[in-house]
Amino acid sequence: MEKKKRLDENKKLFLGAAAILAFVLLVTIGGMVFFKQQVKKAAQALEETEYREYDRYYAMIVEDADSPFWQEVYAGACAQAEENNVCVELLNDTLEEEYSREELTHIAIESQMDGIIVQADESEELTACIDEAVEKGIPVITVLGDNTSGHRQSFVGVGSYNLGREYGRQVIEIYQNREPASGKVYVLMDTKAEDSSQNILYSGIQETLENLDISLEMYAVNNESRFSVEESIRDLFMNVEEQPDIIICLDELNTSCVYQAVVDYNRVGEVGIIGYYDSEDILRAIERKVIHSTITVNTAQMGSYCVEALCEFDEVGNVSEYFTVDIQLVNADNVAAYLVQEEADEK
Amino acid sequence: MKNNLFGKISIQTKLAVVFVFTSLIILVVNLFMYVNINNMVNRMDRVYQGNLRLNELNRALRDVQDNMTEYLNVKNSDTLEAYYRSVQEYTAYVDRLSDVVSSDAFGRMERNIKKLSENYLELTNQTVEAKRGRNVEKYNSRYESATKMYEHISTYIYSLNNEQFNANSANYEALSISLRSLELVSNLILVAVIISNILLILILTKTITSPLKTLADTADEVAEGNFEVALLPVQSQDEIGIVTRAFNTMVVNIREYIERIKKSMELEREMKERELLMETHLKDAQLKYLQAQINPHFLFNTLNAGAQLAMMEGADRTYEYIQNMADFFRYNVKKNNETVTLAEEIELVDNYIYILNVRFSGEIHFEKKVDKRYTYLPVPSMLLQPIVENSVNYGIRNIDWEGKITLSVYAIEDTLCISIKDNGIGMSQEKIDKIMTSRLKEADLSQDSNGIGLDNVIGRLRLFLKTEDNLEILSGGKNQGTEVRIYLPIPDENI
Repeated sequence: MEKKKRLDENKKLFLGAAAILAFVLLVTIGGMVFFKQQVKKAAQALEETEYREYDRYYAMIVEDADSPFWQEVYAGACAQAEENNVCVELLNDTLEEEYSREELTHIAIESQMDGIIVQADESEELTACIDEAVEKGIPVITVLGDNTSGHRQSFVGVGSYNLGREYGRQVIEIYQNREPASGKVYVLMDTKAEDSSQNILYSGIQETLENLDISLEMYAVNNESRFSVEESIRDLFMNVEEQPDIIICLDELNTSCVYQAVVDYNRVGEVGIIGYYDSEDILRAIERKVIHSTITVNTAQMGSYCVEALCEFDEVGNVSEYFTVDIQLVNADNVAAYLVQEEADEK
Repeated sequence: MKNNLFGKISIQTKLAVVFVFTSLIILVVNLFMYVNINNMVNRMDRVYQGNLRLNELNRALRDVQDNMTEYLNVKNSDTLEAYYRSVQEYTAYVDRLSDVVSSDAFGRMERNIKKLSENYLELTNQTVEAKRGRNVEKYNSRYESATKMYEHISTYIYSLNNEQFNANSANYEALSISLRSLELVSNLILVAVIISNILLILILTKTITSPLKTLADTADEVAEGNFEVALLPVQSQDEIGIVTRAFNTMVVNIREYIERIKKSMELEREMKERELLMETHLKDAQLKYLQAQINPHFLFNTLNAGAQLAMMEGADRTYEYIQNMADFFRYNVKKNNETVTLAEEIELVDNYIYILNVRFSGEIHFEKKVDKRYTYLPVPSMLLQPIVENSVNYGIRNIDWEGKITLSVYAIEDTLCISIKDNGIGMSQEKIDKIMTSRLKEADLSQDSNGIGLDNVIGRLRLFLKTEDNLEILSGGKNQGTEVRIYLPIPDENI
């Protein structure tokens, strides 16, 4: 009886020992497997992905690469480039230092890029750069802003006259809903811009408002230095004798600044703002009815036209001089859809 | 059965298995750790190799620019040589850069740096050429362009370096996470191994110590004198099993040994008892003799003087008689202890018979048939004389016919027979039995007995020979005479 009990005890001890050994083995193997998986996860981050090789390499040079507008244009360009198996590089983004468009164009030339997309103006330096590139066999496409004096291959932009007419129509809309039916309309003009597009645009507005009792005036926004835009817009509210009833903004930054100034000077409702571009802030402002409406270009289309133009030139040898990008009006009626779109994009 | 298997493994093997097992696990874990740490260190090296390479590239670029500037400044062959050397070095670096346009942003930057560098080198060469050609205007403008380009390349390299560093930081993060998990895993395993090691050792020591404890308890019990403990069960075939079995054997052997000692002690005690008894009998005989012969020395000396007187007077028979008496008493004085030879005993009987025959005027016819070869055998002293005295006193004293006593010594195979036979009144069987069982009362003995009774003789003979049946009394019945036979074993060489 005793012996049997002892044997049982022995058996228990033996089973216990076996269980412990099994446990240790299990922990060891489990730990190793766990670690291997962990390493695999880390290795996935380290693993070199298969890179796609492109046929051609284009540079895109813009003034303010960080703005949502240009980012969207760039995204549109990239999408088109992917389709044609070429690569577009937003050159501003790749370099840590901030270079002027001229310098960036030089870099693109020296880097022997296959094509340059540049947001141009009529400055001589840029003209020289464009000419240098074309001389070296690099096709140049100007976007949004044109350089007509240089030998650029094509221009992708908004039809300025059409844009002007649209702005005019918006002014009429505000004007008609307002008592007394008079107003001072300022068009914020870029002092740097020496091209004709602003003038064409202005004449477009002028023609639309021809028979109305509206005084249309240009207001030069100084953008010579970094923060001068904001200062000169505030000046408009502080120092100008005849205060604006309607302000027409021709770029995104101006729109944001005017919006902020109107809020700051407590002029919401008194000043009608017609903006440009559909950034989230602007859309929200429309929703709150601070900004009456905004005109936006089809950024994706703009980018895609740029690449298309370059590809066409590379393949065929020539390309049409103008690409006109569609414009869209965003006002209180359709802003909700844009906001939804914006949120979706963010996600 | 597993259990039996476990029992059969020796402690040494068990310990070895446990330690080897845990050591192996620790070894494996360590190896695993080292291999993986090595792996990771290699990866980290690779991660930062790109940065190092770019730094080298930047340095080489700076060398080119500095050497070119230096040459343009001083225009000697040393600086020119230095310039060409740096150009060579830089070219070597640039050649290694990829020039593929792909979705890899770093690759594209590399390609741009390469293209820029190629242009730059061409420009610097042209600048140097212009300097050598002393075309001041040209080399100045080229130098300016080259410097600008140099700045562009520098920026590019710097940017790429920065971007790579950022990406590497992410990689580093991933690596450090896996390193941390490695640390965690290995620590976990080590802790598990340590805990299980402790448990295993506890179990192992329990299997070793618990039978030892039982063994010790049982040993204590044995030490306290309880040899009747139950034998311990042998549970395993290991060292403990061996010890347990040895212990069991020891307990059994101790039991047997104690039994043997008990027996031999009893035997010894018996022997001692017999010796004591023998001594007592002898002393008893001597005491009785001394009671009878108050002063044998005095008597013996007196008798000697009487014998000499008889000789001087010429009375030969008187002399002989006194001489015999003196011899008889001397025997008692001299042989007051233990063993004598048979011959001496027979001589004493001769003396006794002579004395009696003088006393009773030759009434006793004494006859001797002695086999002289055996007379050297040892016998207890005062063995034959009391028997003869008995024969005279109780056998032939009061008979009408001529008394006759025969002493025969002869061998029957390995036994010597000493026979004392008389033709007296004989003895009833009842009386014989009484004598043989020592139940004869003192009162039965006649007054003029010499004192040493037959039972004393029988007792001493038994003690001497250590056997029971060594004396026999034969009698045909009334008036048929009595024969007393003593049987002595003859030592081997005389058969």
